Amino acid sequence: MTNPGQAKAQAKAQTKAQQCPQAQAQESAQPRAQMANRRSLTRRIWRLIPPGLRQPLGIVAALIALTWLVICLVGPSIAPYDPLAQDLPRFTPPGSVAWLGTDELGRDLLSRILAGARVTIGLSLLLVCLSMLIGSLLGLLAGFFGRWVGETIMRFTDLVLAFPTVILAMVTAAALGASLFNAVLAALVVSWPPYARVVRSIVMGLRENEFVASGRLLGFSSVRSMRVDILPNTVGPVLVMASLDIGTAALLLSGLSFLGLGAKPPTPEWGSMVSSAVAHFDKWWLGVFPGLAILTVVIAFNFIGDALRDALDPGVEKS
Amino acid sequence: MNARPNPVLAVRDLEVVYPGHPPVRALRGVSFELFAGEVVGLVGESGCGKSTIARVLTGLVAPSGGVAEYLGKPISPLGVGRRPLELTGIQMVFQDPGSSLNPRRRVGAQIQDGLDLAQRRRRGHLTSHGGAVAGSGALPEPGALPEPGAVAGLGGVAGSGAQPTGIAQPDGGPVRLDTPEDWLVRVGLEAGDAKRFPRSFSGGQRQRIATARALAAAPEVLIGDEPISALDASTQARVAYLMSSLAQSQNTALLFISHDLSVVRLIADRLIVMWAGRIVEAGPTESVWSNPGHPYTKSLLAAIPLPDGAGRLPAPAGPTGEFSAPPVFHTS
Ligand SMILES: Nc1ncnc2c1ncn2[C@@H]1O[C@H](COP(=O)(O)OP(=O)(O)OP(=O)(O)O)[C@@H](O)[C@H]1O
Ligand SMILES: [Mg+2]
Repeated sequence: MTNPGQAKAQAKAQTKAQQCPQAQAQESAQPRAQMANRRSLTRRIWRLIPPGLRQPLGIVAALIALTWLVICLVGPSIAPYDPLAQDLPRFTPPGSVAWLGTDELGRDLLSRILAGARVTIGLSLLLVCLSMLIGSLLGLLAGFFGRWVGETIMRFTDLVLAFPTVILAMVTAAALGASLFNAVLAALVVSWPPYARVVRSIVMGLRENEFVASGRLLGFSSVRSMRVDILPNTVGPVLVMASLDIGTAALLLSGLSFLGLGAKPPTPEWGSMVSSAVAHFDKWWLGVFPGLAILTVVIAFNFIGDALRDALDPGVEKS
Repeated sequence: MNARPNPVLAVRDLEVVYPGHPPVRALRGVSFELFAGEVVGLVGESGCGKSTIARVLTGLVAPSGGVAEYLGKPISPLGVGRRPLELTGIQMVFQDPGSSLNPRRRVGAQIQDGLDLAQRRRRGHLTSHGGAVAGSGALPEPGALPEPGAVAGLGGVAGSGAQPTGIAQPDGGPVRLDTPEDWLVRVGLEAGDAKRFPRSFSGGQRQRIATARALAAAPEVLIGDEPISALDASTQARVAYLMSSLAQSQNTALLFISHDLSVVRLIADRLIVMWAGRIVEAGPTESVWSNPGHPYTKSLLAAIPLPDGAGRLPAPAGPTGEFSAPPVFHTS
């Protein structure tokens, strides 16, 4: 229990301590010097990061995401085994033979996760980019032109948004036939509307700005006005949204694969790996490791999104 | 009217009704003219329709009655397409320094937009500025400009050599085109500021930049819609002086909108006083200032703090019912 009076007193004491660092330095001169040395290196690295992005959580997340992106590029070549080869004993628990164990066909789980990064993350990125492009374009047109153009686009957007996302994606994927490409298409159908909505509302707000009117008075065409005055001012929020969306996209694609609507069996895709683990519930590693892979990707990109949002906050100077 | 040339801007019986419940009659028959190179102050209380006039003149709002003409041709409302080049001779500086410039573009690029427009207008032979390029070539070197911030100095800009209008091009010499840097210096900033983003400027500096961008387009008419009301008192007069002296130096007519008569008086040749969507008094500044005829103008003048240092307000004016008295027009 702390009463407010105490807390205040503590806070005061702390500020006092901060105000007279000399007294502290004298108390513990030696360990301080060592710490300062070590700190200066971290600080130097810290300074390399643009001020707006200096957020510990965001940086950890960025490192995790970066690791995964590197794995996307080099995954198969650093994998200890061929991800499709069925040479190892089946259901080997995690150990020295296979660090993360093997599955029901004797394939190395680690190799499959490393190879699967390319599939899951790569397709998620593709999906997010496509939905961002399509959604932003429609939102831009709807927000800039208003009237019937905007109304038509927004009614269509509402129509898509009215369906539960996962179910609509499932139905679309089922209708298109199970394949990874179709899974991306199906996911695309449900992922663009939020972008259209957000971009439209941003654009409608921006349009009221006096600099947009000034541009028009200076003879900007609609296209130039959109390109110069509107679009650059939507990029920040949309990028934040996109990075928050990468995790969701990975989940959606994995989910479709989990339901058998995405990757076909031998393809090492994380969602389908979790899916096949369901049949062997006692072999915990089969589901846990691909699940962890999905989880770290989702969380990492969410933190990046949050950090980006803070960094792009209008109050922060950047030039 | 005496033998004046044709007005650059003419407004007759202008009416604007904003749709709504109930509809707002923002303008109820407004008529006035604006002549080349003059500075006209448009004053009136909040909501009397000043911005609405500015919006009609720039095509941002369509009039519901009457006509607004620029160089004898009606001003068409701005549609989805590009603003017609003929109408780009009307430029505007807006009220809010926070949103008058695009935050994501360097100020140099934004001033360049004005210069590009001037270029296009020149190619279309749409500048009347003595055939010469407004504000180009004939200006003194930046260093030769008087101290830009100083009010007295700005008067110098208007009066002295900085008149590109009548001055011939250096014979046969290559015409040095204006650059954003020239304009920054002209409005009292530094050439190096062209590379900075609007965020790093103060409100007053942003309004100077907006002024530079608008005037760089070599317009016939510059409308300032309360360009100084968001600034602090010491900056207000400076920016107002700057706008009027630069506008006059290139023979651009300035319609300066404000609700603050005390600043407008310093720069305006003529005053137009509005109340509730109508013009209630108009005439040469000195005449209106020293000899107000309409009850509203009297109350407006009375509301200006007495210059006794105490910021004391004179006695309140009579009932607003008097304000519907017929308008007073001073003749020069
Ligand atoms: N878009 C609009 N829709 C409806 N009414 C409007 C709109 N814009 C202005 N009005 C109304 O029209 C009247 C005149 O507005 P206007 O903006 O021209 O006033 P103003 O003289 O510029 O005032 P201020 O000094 O506050 O800027 C006001 O009563 C206002 O409420
Ligand atoms: Mg206004």
